[in-house]
Amino acid sequence: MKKLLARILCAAMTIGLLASCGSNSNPGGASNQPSSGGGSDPVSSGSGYKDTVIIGVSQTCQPPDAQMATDVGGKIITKMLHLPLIFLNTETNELQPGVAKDWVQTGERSYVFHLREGMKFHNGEDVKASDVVYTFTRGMDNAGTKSVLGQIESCTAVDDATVELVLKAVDVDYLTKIVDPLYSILSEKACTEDPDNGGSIGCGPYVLDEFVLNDYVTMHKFEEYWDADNLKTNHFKFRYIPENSARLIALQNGEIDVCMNPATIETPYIADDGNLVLNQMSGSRVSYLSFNMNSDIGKNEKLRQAIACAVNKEDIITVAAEGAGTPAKSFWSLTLLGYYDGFEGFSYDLDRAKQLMFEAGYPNGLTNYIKQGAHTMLYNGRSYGATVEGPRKVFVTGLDSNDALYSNPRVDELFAAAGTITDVAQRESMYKEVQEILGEQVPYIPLYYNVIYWGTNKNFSNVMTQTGGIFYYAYSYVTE
Amino acid sequence: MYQYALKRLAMIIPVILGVSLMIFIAMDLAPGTAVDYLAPEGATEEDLMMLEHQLGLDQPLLVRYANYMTDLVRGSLGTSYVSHRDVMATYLNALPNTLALAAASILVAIGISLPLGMISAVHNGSIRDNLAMVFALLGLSMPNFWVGLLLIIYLSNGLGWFPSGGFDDGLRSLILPAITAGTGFTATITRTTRSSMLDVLGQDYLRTARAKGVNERTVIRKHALKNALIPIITISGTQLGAMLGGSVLTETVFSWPGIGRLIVDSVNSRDTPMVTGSIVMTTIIVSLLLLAVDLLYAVVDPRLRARYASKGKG
Amino acid sequence: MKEELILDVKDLVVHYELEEETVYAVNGIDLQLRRGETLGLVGETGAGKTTAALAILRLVPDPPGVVKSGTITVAGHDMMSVSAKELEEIRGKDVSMIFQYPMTSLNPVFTVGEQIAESVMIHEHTAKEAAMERAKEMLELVGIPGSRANEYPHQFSGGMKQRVIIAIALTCNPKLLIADEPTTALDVTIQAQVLELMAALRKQYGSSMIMITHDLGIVAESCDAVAVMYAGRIIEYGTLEDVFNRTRHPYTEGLFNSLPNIRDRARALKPIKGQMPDPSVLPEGCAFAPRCPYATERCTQMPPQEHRFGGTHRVLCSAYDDPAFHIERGRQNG
Repeated sequence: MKKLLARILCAAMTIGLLASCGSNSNPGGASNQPSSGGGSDPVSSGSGYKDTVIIGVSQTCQPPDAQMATDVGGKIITKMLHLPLIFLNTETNELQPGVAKDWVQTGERSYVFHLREGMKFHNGEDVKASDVVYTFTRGMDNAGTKSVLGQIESCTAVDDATVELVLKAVDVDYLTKIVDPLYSILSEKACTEDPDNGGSIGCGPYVLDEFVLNDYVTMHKFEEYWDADNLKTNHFKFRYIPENSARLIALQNGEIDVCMNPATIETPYIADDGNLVLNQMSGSRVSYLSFNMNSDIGKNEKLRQAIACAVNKEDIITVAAEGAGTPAKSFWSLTLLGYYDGFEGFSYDLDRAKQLMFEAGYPNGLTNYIKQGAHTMLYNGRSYGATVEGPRKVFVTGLDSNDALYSNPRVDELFAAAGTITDVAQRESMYKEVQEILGEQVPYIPLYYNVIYWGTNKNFSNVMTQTGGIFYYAYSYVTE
Repeated sequence: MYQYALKRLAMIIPVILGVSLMIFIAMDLAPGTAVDYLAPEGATEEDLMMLEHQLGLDQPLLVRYANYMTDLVRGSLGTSYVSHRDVMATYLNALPNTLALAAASILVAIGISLPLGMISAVHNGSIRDNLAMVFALLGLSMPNFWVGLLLIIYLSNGLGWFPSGGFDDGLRSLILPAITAGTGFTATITRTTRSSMLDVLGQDYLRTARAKGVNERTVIRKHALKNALIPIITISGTQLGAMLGGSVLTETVFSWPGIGRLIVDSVNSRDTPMVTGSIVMTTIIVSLLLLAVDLLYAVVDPRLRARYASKGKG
Repeated sequence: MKEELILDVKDLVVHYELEEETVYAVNGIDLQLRRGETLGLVGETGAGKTTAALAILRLVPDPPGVVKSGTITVAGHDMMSVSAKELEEIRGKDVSMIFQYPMTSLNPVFTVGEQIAESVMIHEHTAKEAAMERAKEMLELVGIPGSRANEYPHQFSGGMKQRVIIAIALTCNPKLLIADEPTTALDVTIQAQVLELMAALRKQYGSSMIMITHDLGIVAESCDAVAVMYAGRIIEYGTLEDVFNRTRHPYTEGLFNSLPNIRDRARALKPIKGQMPDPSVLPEGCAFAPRCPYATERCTQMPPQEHRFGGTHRVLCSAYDDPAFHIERGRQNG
């Protein structure tokens, strides 16, 4: 009896050990992880490009159903597997053909889309207008996509290659809203046959091989993609490596080709390494100080302006963001429609600060004030996303993102008006006025935009960046 | 002895009840909900409310708990708020990874500490003893993740012997994490071995063995060690239990997709079913493990077999 | 004339060297034992009997015990110069020992059969199966059913444990058996059984034996020769007859006197006054002098000389420097 028990325990432990090591091996990939430093791959595709590109990400993502993936990590994957009606080139901000080859606005709130010919889903099915209708209908019940798709009054398939969309109300920005990966077109057949996993079948450049939660995602090139000839990489693997240092080391070892979001403090290692390239760009995330407009201090405009003059943004960037930030003057993100920084505003100027303090009725001095006022200020960071919805929610009276409880009827008016006009120049001038008002009244003090870093193997090229961190890798490759 | 085991198994049930209730309350008290984590950019009040309703978060705590327990009794742990996948399946997917890590760590730890502790005890007071104790102290004091990172920097990045994380390399990727997680164990088990052996070394029956003509090595390794094992097994068992639940640091540093990380990620996203389910499962496993340890005593020490037999009936 | 000596100890000195002090446990003893002889080693607790016995087997814990000088020859082996491996062969085969506390002398995690069989396997290099069979035979020999060979020590009573220990000691037919107070920890009735058993086995195997005890009754029953130890020295040595009926040393007399007189129960007990000296602080002169009714000034100052009295009888006492000296006991014939 005792020997039996002892043997069972030993066996159990050994099995546990072996089983987990044996399983989860890499099925779809033709290539293995390189075991020592250096980026070369044992299986060369012979075309001069590395067969499998491996990307180390810092955020995990949920099982890939396009309409469920609301986080950055999820959207990166979605973009690889799926394609929306309209494709947004995030670097040029141009709207380009996606599933739809062209589109027309036929009325104030109606649009017609003509679908590209010969597009297929990963399961072999053709992409038809009915799939578009199905996708949008499906999304109306889904929390993540409901608000945008809920604006649709009707969506009909005029014929197999034409879709007509009618909105409930005018929304000049609607086309820019549906470029989000969340609204990618799904296969009706796949979703009805397999409600759990059908949402991962798309018509995008890559096909999902394996999704291991909290570990990695692998995919291979979709040969029937309309632009397959330009896809230079055969396989992609996204590895979730949560620990910053470990991710960086994996890049140095050659285990991954791209390291997203290395720790700011460690970026010099990438910069100094001859085999690697340190890349950076300004993100869309604005960090700011917000006043509580209902408090005594918040109510006093001169005082707010005085503080604005007392804030040294460079210092804050160095301390709070470890140097990874660019000073922000306006509350708009740099790439947002209507970005304008030509107003005077209040920059770091201690003398002016003192004078404004005096005018505000606080001759006591700077440090005293700051201690007092700290509790009425809220330090926050917000990412505005791709549309003007972002700032609108922060500044219009009564909306939830409006932390400062700011209320200015003129600003509300401007936002409302700009939302219905299609003329871009006119909208821009409206937003310009908004930013001028905000610049003068200073309900918030914008501090800095975040900086996004990523490290790559020196042979890696061609990633399409995006200010929110949702990079597009489909056309990336590593030369050999 | 079977009755004893059955009794112990039955005791797991009230533990599960208590643990699940505590977690439910704790998750509720924590600020924020899964909705905050899941809500996309630009979601309206309506959207948030709908999401809440979908997840059932708009119902009061006791109702949710009752629903949860009803499911539990039927053997279902529910579905994750965040991934919409079955909690049990997700957990069981991650479990073997943690088990493998735990098993490997314990093996590494025992492999080092048993001999080390024995040498310490036999050469009590000598340089060897002192060195071993210093080594044990170091192991205990060095933080897990620091050891892990050092190992990665020097053995993975520096020498290129091991991968820096993940576990595609089979056994090779297990080694560094096992050493990292095992370091803390090694220290504790070494000390326990040493003190237990010291106790045993003073016993009369060792003298009898020597008088029989048994050679010294056998006296230590067979006659003494088996008697010294009981406290060592206890400590190893509890450490293993702790490891199963708390291997988060090692799992994070080495990108090892085990249950430690799963639980922490789920807590961060306020995914109550996932957290509760994982912890309930872990509780069960740890309880079974401790039971196995207790039964293992009986294998090692025959005096306990009679006691278990009587405990079972009484 | 000189028959083969199984045991020959000459001038053995064993000290325990601790940090703060040194314990002078054995201070120069001589012992000889022939085939089939039984020697009773008598003395109070702390006299050095156990240490002497352990020294014979080289089992004195080292550190802190040190054999400072002397020779020990067991069945022809010079115990001070054999290698460790030879020592392992000698122990359990040429000489065996039975210890005082049966409760703690058996390993609790092995069966009694295994513990007996181990001895067989070591010395006779037999396979486990055969060894276990031998173990069962030995158990039967000591009066325990062989079927109990697979039971553990905690399942046996004290007396039975001691029998198992005897079985272990006798398994390989040792030439010399050292029994250190084998019955002290047992009830009187069991005591008798065990002693009978030992006598029977001794006859059967023809082994020599050293019986360490403080019980003179046991000595009377089972021993051929007697050595009385005090403060690490043998102060009286001789045949049973000699020591019991022609007692010479005052200490030995004191031992006999302190026995209750079964015929005269009303008589007051006559213990030896005082206590045995602390073995780490031994006086220059005779160690017994402070308690000796016959002690003189010279006794405390000078170490006592050895005196012989016909045959093997010897006494370590300065009083006998005076040939006319005698103790009282000889007169009364108790």
